[in-house]
Amino acid sequence: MNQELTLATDLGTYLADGSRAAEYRLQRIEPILGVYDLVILDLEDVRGMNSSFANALLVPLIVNHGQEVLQKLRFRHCKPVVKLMIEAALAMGVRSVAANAAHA
Amino acid sequence: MSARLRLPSAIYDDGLDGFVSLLGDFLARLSPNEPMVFDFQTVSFYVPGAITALLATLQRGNDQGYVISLANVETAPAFTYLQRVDFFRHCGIDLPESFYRHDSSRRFVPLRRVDRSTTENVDSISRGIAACLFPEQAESDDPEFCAAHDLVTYATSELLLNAVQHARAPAFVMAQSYQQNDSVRIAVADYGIGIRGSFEESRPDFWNSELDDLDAVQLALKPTVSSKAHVASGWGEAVNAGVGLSILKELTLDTDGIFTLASHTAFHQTNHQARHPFPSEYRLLNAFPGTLCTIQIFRNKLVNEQAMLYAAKQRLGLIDQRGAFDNLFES
Repeated sequence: MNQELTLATDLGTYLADGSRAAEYRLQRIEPILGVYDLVILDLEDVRGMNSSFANALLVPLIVNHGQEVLQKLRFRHCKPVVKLMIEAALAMGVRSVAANAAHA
Repeated sequence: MSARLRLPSAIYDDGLDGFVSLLGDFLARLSPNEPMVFDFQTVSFYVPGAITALLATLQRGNDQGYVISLANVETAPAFTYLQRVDFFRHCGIDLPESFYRHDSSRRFVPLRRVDRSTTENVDSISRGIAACLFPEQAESDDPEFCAAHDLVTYATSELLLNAVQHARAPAFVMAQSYQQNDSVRIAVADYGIGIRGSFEESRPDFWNSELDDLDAVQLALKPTVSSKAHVASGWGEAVNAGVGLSILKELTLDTDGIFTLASHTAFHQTNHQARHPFPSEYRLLNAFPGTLCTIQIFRNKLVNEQAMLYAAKQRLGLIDQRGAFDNLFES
């Protein structure tokens, strides 16, 4: 079973506030990661996103849960510029996990 | 006995270093009970960076209990402009206006005070500023057509977030469009703890007490450094991976623009208009009482926000080979 979250409805059409991203991740995403097969973030109508938001939303998910969390996440209806910000945040999360492993 | 600062007549981007140092010097030389007078007699043209820096300094002085007065404001050449951008209103001075307030769309965005208690969030303030400067682009989905709007939204959000998350004091933001050279300037100045102070407060891994303001600014311009990348927010989580300033600098330079960052005694400016390859970086003689970040971007160099962001992120090593996560995206 999958769960879909609609970010434009929940947070607005331009996503720029890292604090709100962290709040959303902790309140809405983290609690359901273990419940559903897939958590789908629907970004329809999201016109833009800055790096602060993307990083605060996604990097800690990968750092805290490992790269395995990527098997449970999907991103739907992304505009190219939003996809770019998400890809960069995912890359940063993966790099952070690798760096942490190297230090361990 | 009062101390009087005769403000310079014109401040452009290349004069911001001297101006913020002048403001810091004036504030530092005063004792709390000594009245200070800011004399506007010859003030004629200030870029938004200078206006926000001046306002932040006045607010800092006011908060510290100095007795501040403004002299010769109504005879200053820039008096009407300063009224239109609400400079005096933010100083708590209510002056009669001898003009009709036209819609400022496409020309400027008046000063706004932003802090943690600001009801409106950073997202909507940023979009509001972009929509004011480029109203015709606000509703468009065409990335080529709305590049200026989208880049201004992006830049403003990163500038404001830095101030709100790090400064521990209110900030002021304003923007101005210049038709003669098709450019836009956006400035945010606060009167807070500075970038070094933010590092000192959060103690990231790279912190050591010998870091000075310039060291801190140089670190803040590295792509993955942020004082907030390592520490808990109100939600117990990192809120910023610290790439905002570095991307903003890259994007500004891609438009042959000017990026300026001043924080206490540190000053950094990369000015593609000056046509020299290296940034100006130095320690100011006198500490500006906060942090100022301002950019100038040229519209004719803006092509597509996505393409520019991709290029900037690639140069900074923030993005791996494209397509690595394609399996996670659905149409």
